[in-house]
Amino acid sequence: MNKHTDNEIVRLLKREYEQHDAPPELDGSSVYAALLEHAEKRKKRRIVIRRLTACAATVAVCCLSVWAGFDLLAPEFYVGSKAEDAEAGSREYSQLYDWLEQSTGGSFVGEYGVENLQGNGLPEQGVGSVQAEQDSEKFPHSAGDIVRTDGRYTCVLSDNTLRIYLSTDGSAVCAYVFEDDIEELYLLSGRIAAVYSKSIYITPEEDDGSQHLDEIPPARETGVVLLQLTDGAATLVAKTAQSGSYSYSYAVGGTLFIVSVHTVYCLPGDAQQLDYYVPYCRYGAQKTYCPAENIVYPEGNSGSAYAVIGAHSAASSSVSGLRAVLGSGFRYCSTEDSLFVLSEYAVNSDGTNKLYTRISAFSHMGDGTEYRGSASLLGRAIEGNSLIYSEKSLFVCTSYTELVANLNEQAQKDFANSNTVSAYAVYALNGEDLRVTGIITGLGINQTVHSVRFENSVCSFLCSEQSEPLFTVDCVNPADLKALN
Amino acid sequence: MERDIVQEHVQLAEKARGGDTAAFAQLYELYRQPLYRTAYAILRNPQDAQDAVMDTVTDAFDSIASLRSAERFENWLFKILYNKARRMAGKVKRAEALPLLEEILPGMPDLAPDAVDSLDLSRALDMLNAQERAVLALCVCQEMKSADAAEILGMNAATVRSNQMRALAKLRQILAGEQ
Repeated sequence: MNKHTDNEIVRLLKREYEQHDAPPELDGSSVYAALLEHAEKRKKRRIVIRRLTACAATVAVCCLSVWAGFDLLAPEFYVGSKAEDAEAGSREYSQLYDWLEQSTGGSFVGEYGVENLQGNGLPEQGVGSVQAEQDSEKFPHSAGDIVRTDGRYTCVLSDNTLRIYLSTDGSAVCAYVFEDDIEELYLLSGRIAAVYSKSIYITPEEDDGSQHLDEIPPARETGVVLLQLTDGAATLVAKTAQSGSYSYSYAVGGTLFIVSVHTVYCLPGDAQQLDYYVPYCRYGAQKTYCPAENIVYPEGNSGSAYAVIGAHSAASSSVSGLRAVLGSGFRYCSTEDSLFVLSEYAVNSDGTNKLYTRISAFSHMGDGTEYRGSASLLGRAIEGNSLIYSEKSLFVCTSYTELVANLNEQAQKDFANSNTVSAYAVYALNGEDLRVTGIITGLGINQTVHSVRFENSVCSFLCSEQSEPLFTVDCVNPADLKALN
Repeated sequence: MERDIVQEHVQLAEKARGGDTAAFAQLYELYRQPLYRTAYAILRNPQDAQDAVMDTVTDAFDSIASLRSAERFENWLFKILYNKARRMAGKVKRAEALPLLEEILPGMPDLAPDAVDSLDLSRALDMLNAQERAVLALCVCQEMKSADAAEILGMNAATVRSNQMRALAKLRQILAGEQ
């Protein structure tokens, strides 16, 4: 045999590679025709799958509801303002799917498989270890730890380890190590509720090449680990979860309301898809998908992320009343009886994008929530505190872009060198039906506002450089907002 | 010029992502030969290579909306192809040992030295595994950057380069009759 140099081998390899031409069966026109035929078949198959999925999901929800002992929520599927919308009452995922497809300009074309309804797609979360611990140091905690007390016990969470002390003398009672990252801690109905958020990965071993691991992000799940303190030890009572990344939580009575952000992804046809498309809640290994009827699709919103709202009961160790609202860029405001969810969307007008803020309102109803309606405001909410609920009115501070031509005569002279300016507005809405009752615009033109504070019915806009507010708005009368200075 | 071609591919990929079937067909036409040749290089069988390309195109057509960036179209397409070919290669069993070249040559008419090299190389390539053949097809034959090949093959660039060196060394040994 001859000895070959690497260069000769490379030359031979290239020649070998180039002498194999694609056969006529793979020429462009043949494949194009095959693709068109395939697209037609796919369209028909998708309709069948949607119908099957909707039926199977309904059955699954009914079974779980009966098993868990809670009533089915009144089925409604809202699009846009509840009162005005003619589409309310539609009840299939397929319709939601179509709306989603329209919203994303056709870029969402994912399919989903009926087999995902088996609820076995995700690995069950492990149980944290429980151990008693005597710690001579009383209430040790550092910055970044979460500390909660109910008067009897003091709980200190550090590095996902919960240490529980007697509040009276600070002596250590026990400790509990969580497996997942804990985001928030509550003491409810004599129990400890820890909110966790985690990623669920498809491991390379589970991937046969069809999961397109590099193309899809891991699924996110947010949940509650419920602990009971008995005989000096913290014992696991239940784990409940809902899909999406942790975003916001608040407690009303013994119920913990969690808002997570569930991002919808278009996945290849042979990958598991329903979990990426429909939000779900989970009790132990039992998973149920949010009924299409409980998903709000605000008119005009684009994007493909839902704010998912779940009610986790500490007393009955259950999760129920799952609802979702489509939108992205969320901010929240919660009261004893309501939750307000903000999302943003853009409308292209005269070649420029105008940003709008959509507010959806939910009422707390027993173990769940009910959608009340939504409102749309020009501009984007400035920051978390720019959404304030006070005296049954909701105040929202937004920033927006305005054409100089639309300003008053003096302002047009002041900003003659620009086409547009930035400005701020305050809206007052009726907290019940989100009707706009008052509005003041054109504040702080081309100024930079860092944050908003609301105190004694006065809304103050602050910049980072000085402690005195740039300007303030009197909100005593929601129907008559006044700029103070 | 090369930049213009790349730009044209990106524009077509952008249109295809938006659901333009004709743009997708144009893109396919541009990648048809390299796709088939790469599939053949990995699978070493014309029918299997044809099936792999057809499956790849159908999958890509179904899921192009999920492509995050049009600039990544080529890598994304070849990654799908590699996954398909890898699975097919796993299923294909080499049922029969290949005959030794010395057994074939006496019965064949006079062959040009290059033809002998070709036969040697073909037999040597059959003795590599699918991953080694994929590395050679992408890095040597298509002259892809190791970072791009790494993305397609799901390994890091340094591993791609060491695999390439190892595959070439293995070929050299086989061709020298040392294996």
